[in-house]
Amino acid sequence: MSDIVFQSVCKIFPAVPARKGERDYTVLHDVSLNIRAGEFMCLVGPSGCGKSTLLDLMAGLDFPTDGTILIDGEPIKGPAASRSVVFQQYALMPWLSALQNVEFALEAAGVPRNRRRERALAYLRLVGLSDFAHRRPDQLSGGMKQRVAIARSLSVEPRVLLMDEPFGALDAQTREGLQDELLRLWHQSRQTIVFITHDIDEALYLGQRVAIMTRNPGHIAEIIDVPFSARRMETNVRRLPEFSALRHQIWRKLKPDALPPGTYH
Amino acid sequence: MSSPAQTFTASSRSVQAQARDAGAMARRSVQITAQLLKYTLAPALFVLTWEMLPRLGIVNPVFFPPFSRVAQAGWHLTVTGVLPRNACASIMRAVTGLCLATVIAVPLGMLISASRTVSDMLSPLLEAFRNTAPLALLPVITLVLGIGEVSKVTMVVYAAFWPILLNTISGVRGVDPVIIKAGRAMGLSPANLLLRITLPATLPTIFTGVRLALAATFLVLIAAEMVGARAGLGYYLNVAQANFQIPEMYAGILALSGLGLLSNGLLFWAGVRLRIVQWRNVK
Ligand SMILES: Nc1ncnc2c1ncn2[C@@H]1O[C@H](COP(=O)(O)OP(=O)(O)OP(=O)(O)O)[C@@H](O)[C@H]1O
Ligand SMILES: [Mg+2]
Repeated sequence: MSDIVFQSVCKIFPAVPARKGERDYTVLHDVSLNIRAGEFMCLVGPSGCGKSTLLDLMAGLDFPTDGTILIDGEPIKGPAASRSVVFQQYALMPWLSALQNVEFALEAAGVPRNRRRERALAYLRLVGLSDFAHRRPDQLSGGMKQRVAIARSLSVEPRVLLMDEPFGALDAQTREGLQDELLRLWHQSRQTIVFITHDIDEALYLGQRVAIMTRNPGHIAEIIDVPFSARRMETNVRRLPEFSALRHQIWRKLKPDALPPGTYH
Repeated sequence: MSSPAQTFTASSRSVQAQARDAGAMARRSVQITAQLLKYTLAPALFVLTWEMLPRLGIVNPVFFPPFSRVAQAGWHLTVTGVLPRNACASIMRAVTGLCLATVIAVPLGMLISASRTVSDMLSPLLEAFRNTAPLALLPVITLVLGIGEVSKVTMVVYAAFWPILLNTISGVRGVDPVIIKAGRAMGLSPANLLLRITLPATLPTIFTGVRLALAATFLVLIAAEMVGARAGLGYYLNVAQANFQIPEMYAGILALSGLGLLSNGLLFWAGVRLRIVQWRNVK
């Protein structure tokens, strides 16, 4: 229930002085974006266009070189427990079990001790990992680690959920199951969700709007309203002709960076 | 009519199962014996050679008494309390020194590596100290602190300090930045990031440092005890040698290697129990 407003945001990574010939690198240039409170916004774009950088800025982990980002009208001052991130690289604590990883986040969010265990288990069940609660990350597969990371972020029930390719390492079945689960949760809680993906189909299936990013420098090229997003629960929107039409439209916009529609990597 | 037949098949099956169990047990005990043989063969051969060479006159039995003589002397020294007393003195110094070194080096290492600039500034100095053999400082420490307990423990602290400090620093540097980022995103304070993420993530590397420090501890301690002390295994070795108690001297050396093995094993066991190291990862 928080809106996020980007006002001509630029992000430049300065060159490392020791490395001769390296120039400042402009990752994001003049990004203006208005994410409404309670919205499910998807962000698609080719690799290296600055999606993760954009997410870091929203999380308060890094700051724009120029421009401002407002959350509920206030500039972001730093990270907050009300904003939760699912990192592209899972970022689980290797010495903690799946359960303890989720509990760690709950503790950081100030959830009282006696309510952590139950809540952590509930969210692990949600991602289908009840039987693996006591395994450590090195005993879990990539997809399982990703699901623990998702459970960890969901468990703190944040007002803003920032997800960086959270389903990237999953097989098609698990992925579709979790997509539906995420939608169901979002219908209940109406959090603001920013969801980064490479997968145009996934973006169209989940998002109310899809922001298309292009690179060099990273820039929001277009924002597309997904007209059938409200009908997701009752019809299989993936079969709708509008779905393929939009998919093609986005794909053309991303060209020559993206793979043809229907091709996964 | 069908009932006896069933009983027959059932019992014959159970006989088969028993036979299978017995076979499995036999195979299992063969396996265990093979394992035992694998690990005891080399030491047994070593002891045998040690016993035979002096007895056959191939080496001088005065300087190299056979193993049985050494074992005898060792047993005598143990029951009379000579070895236990000296071993205890050495253990106390080693434990005190190692604990002190850990308590000083770990927080210091965390602090130094908290700032890249500080650690870069200190790195030439650290390298110089690390490459100064601790034994080179023995005369200095003996000069300043005498030959009492303080001087022994100081030597141990110095020798154990460097591996722990350097491992702490390199451990902190090796922490995956993305888990720090995750901690920051959860809103952890800098102090909590250090205590709840950096420290546990660094523990395995610190632990390796402590194991290195243990080896350094014994090396330096024995030398320091040889230079001047009233008790300790190093002191005892020197005394035995000076009094020409050759079997006793070898017994002391055996006690030392036993102590090293034991302490290393104990430390490893503690690491496994505390889940700092895992069997799989180390092997
Ligand atoms: N700390 C940094 N310093 C310098 N350059 C950086 C830094 N972080 C990211 N970059 C550069 O910024 C660009 C965008 O990176 P980012 O991780 O945001 O891409 P992305 O869109 O998330 O890509 P992917 O889809 O592959 O995850 C890359 O070219 C990367 O090299
Ligand atoms: Mg990325």
